[in-house]
Amino acid sequence: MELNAIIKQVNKIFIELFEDESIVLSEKSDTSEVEAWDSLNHIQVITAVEKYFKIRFELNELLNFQNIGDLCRGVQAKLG
Amino acid sequence: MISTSIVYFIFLVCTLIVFYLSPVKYRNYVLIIASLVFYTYVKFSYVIIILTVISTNYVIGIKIEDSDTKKLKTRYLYLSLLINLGILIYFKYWNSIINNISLFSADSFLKNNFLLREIILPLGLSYYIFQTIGYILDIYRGSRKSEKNFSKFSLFILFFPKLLVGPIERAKNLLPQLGKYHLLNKEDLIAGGKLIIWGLFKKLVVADRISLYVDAVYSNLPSHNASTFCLATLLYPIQVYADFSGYTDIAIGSARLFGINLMENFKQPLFAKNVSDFWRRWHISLSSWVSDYIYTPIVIKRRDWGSFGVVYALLISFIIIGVWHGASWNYVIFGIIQAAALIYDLETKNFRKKLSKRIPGYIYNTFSILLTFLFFAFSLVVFRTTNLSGAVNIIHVMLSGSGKLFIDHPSTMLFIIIGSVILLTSDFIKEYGKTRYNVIHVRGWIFQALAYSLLILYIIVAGVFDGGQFIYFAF
Repeated sequence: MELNAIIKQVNKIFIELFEDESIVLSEKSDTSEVEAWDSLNHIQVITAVEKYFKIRFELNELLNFQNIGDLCRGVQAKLG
Repeated sequence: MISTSIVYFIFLVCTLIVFYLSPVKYRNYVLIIASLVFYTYVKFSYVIIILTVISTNYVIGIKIEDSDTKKLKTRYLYLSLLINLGILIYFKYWNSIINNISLFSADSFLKNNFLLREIILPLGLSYYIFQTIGYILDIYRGSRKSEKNFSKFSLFILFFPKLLVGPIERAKNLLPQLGKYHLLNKEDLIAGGKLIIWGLFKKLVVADRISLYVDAVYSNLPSHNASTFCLATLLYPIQVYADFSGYTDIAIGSARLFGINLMENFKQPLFAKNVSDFWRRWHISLSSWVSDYIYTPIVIKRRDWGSFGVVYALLISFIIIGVWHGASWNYVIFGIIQAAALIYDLETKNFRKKLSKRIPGYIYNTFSILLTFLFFAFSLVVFRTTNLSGAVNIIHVMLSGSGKLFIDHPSTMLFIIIGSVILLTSDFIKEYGKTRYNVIHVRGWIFQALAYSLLILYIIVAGVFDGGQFIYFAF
């Protein structure tokens, strides 16, 4: 799956989760860019992404994700 | 050597002269020697402890990186945790643990045999132990390489401006800056100098003035009434903030004079709109440390538990933040209260979002700021009292009556009001961005020079110069 297609899909997940149509994600987007996304609901984002793509991240993988690009590359690697 | 003392500033100026006169390649050594002198001046035995932490963790960091298997890496991680937490527990928590266990036993065997009679908490221990653990965990996770240069690693832990009061630095921020020094730079000198003056104002004028009042109230609890407790309760958060952030500003300002940027530790916390927002602005180096190394790993591991996983992770994280302050049940309860408020924040997020759309923004925000401040002020009653019954008693008195307000010296109250207004106005302007009205950030060197001259004059007139007390040294 193309990285851009994954970002697009993750964007949809964000819009649904945070009930905010205005969210536009890019590879460099992080918690400072998306107002509603913080450390408290970060795990909701992760579980929603894992559920949608039917994947499971390891603890160390998740700890090293710094932005949406890292997360989506992680998804891409899992999907093979 | 308190960083508000004359001795500290003489030491700082001497170190700066030697630092800038030395070739760049020797400057790390200049700062290491200066930091060792600084710490020796505080107490020689502390140096032995910190050198043990530095040397063992330097080796372990490299060993973790070089280990081929996860199992071996984990063994080295446990060894590091054993050393670091062992030292921390021995000096900070041992007596309290023995005392608490003894409560459940009839005889005094434990107390007689295991209580340490003359144990003194080395200053800065909690700060540099957490910093070291963060460094080791980063290597273990593979998010950074170990530091091979021993002098650089030693300076990372020892750097004297942040040694006693933090910020709890991160390897990714501080290590790359060590060794990359430039020529004496006007910008650094001005920015550092301004921060130091501002820090001195916060500490000597605001915090120490308020402490004269708050200490008078808390040292004689039975003599005071509800009105007095309410005023002391409302002033105490401003005192703690001015005290801790004042010292932090001096630390960050001192580091800046050497061209080193330490991380931000406070971001107008008294203007936070909810408790989660507050903890993103208050003692950021500790709260982000706990978020990265405690909260996030727990919440990830327990993500199948749903929202209970978040509750569980928050409770553990805030109990650790509480206990970081000391081995007392008061701090545990302080942590639990903060966690409970964060859980409330999380559960009511959508409701509050909808509510904020129905009420004019300035009204909603003002109420949110006031409520957050009041919550923090009342939670600090538990933090300030030395025993739980004292805290319960104060809250009981506050809820059950009024009475004539205790004013010790009218001049103290006047200085408190002026100092607090200047501090909060500056934070207000920083928060809402109208920097041209801020005496600390005004443009034009004439205005700046005038503003800072007035501030220095006011520090001399209204400052408390008896040495005072730094609340966060004890941690």
